[in-house]
Amino acid sequence: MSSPRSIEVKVGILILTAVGLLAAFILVMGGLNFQPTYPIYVDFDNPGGLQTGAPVKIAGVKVGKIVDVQFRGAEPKTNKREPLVRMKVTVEKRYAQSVHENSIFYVTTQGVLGEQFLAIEPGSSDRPVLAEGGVVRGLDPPRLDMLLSESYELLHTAVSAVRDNRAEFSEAFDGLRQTLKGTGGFFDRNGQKIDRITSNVEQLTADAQGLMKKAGDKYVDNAQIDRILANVDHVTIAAAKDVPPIMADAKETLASAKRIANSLGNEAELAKIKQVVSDASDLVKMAKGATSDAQALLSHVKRGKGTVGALVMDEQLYDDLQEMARDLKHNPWKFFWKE
Amino acid sequence: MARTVASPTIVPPAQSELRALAPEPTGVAILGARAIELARVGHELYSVFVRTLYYCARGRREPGAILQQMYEIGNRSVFFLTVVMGFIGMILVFQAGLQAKRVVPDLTLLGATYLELLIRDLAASIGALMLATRVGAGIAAEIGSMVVTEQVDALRMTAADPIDYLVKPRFIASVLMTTCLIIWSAAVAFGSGMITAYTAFDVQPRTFMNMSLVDAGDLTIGLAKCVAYGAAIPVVSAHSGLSTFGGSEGVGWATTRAVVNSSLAVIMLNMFISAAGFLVFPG
Repeated sequence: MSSPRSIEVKVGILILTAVGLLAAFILVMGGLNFQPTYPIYVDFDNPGGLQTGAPVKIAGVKVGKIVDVQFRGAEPKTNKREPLVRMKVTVEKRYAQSVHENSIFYVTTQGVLGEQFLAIEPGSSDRPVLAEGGVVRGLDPPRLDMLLSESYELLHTAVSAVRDNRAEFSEAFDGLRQTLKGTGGFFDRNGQKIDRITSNVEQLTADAQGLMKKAGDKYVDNAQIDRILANVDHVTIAAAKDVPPIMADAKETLASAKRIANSLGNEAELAKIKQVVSDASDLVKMAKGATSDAQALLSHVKRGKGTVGALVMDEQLYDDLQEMARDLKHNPWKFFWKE
Repeated sequence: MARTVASPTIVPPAQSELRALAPEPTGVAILGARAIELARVGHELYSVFVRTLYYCARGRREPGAILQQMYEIGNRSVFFLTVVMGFIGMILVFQAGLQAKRVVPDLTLLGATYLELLIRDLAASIGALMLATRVGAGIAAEIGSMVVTEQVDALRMTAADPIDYLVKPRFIASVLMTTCLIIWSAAVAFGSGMITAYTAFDVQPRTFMNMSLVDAGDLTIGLAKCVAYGAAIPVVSAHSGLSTFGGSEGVGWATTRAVVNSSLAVIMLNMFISAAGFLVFPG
């Protein structure tokens, strides 16, 4: 057996080893952290399974932890809906410069099945740093349970609808199939026609485009049209200016006519007027007859018949008379005596 | 003595004579007799434990004896525990990795979960079971042989309680050394597990050494288990040794009983402490 002294040394070594391992483990575990921290309050409606003591990480690096989870739903403060849960988070001061006012606080998990933790997306550096004790709104994690239950409900409804209306569905699908089949057959049969129609339509559209272009050139981008429009404009302006007086005149005229008509209203006057009109008609007839006589006379004269006609129409006579007049001028005594 | 050896169970002569007079228990009586026996053993264990605690506080001061027992229980078990826990760490990580790979092919959290499991339960329980076989058997054999050679009776003759002389140093040494040994064995198991994870599943040691899942509650539960097992093993083993009868064969039976009962005590304490830990530190 070993000497008492060496036994003491060996036992001491074992105890020291164990205590050293334990102390090192506790230190590494992070239970003792002497970095100064500052608090931030993060509000959630439902932070999932996030618990007190869960780590807070920026880009996977642990920067703090959750120290308190308060349920605040029971506080009837205002009508405004408050987030239900407020988490007190302590973040080490040396990371304070990385947490800005527009940082995003969200809940995520480590690995596929790992524990949940609060992650901070630092935000943009042009915004000020989040102050001590600041309250921010956290991004609620997706509610997988709700998603499952709601999609279950949806699936259940869909399945029962299909099950209860199997015949209708099969009918509908049959109809759809037949329609599709018919459409397919139609296209098969009329493929060439449809091609032709398509090319015609294409041609048509091309032509229409050309036409439109030409029409545009001619009737839209044309100075003449502008002029016409300007004229129309002038005319309308003038009309607008002139129409009211004309209208007034017309009104007046109409009023006068009305008055005349009113004055002609009784029977005796009407008979008189009729009489006058018939007399006028006789007069006109007689005038007509006179005119036709005169016309016949004139035509007679024109033809050179009769004395007046010969006088008017016969040039020989005129010449003779002219010559006689000249002769008389030269020899005025001829009236008085014979040579 | 010859008659005792011939009989299948070790019974002292006085008792076997009483048995001859009293009828053998049958039927329900067997159940009752067992229950009474269990209650008697429980009471005796309780008595030994309370007296040990009493002498720890009020007994003689003998640092030499405690140191000697610390060396016997602690240092002499280091090699045995290192080998056992090293292999157990390798096996646990290998099997857990194989199973985990079937479910989720993501072994990044293998180290973290393994460390939590080790600290919460496995290091203390497996280490204590190993210590129960080695330390418990040693204590029971030593005290049992002192009983059959009537050294304990001699102690009692000099008005010295054998619990003060024999059990208390072993108790103190065991509580201290079990804690130290389990911390050491946890480190060994974690190290061997880390090597296994690296060689078998390409999990980097840096990834494997992930302490994020371990919290103060896990550590408290683990340390509470260390102390409880360290206290239970010497008490149960010393009780077995002190109730030895029937010569050298009786010493053998006492040793067997000490190992079995110590292991049972470890398992039952594990259950109770785990349940209490779950209530105090949920999650």
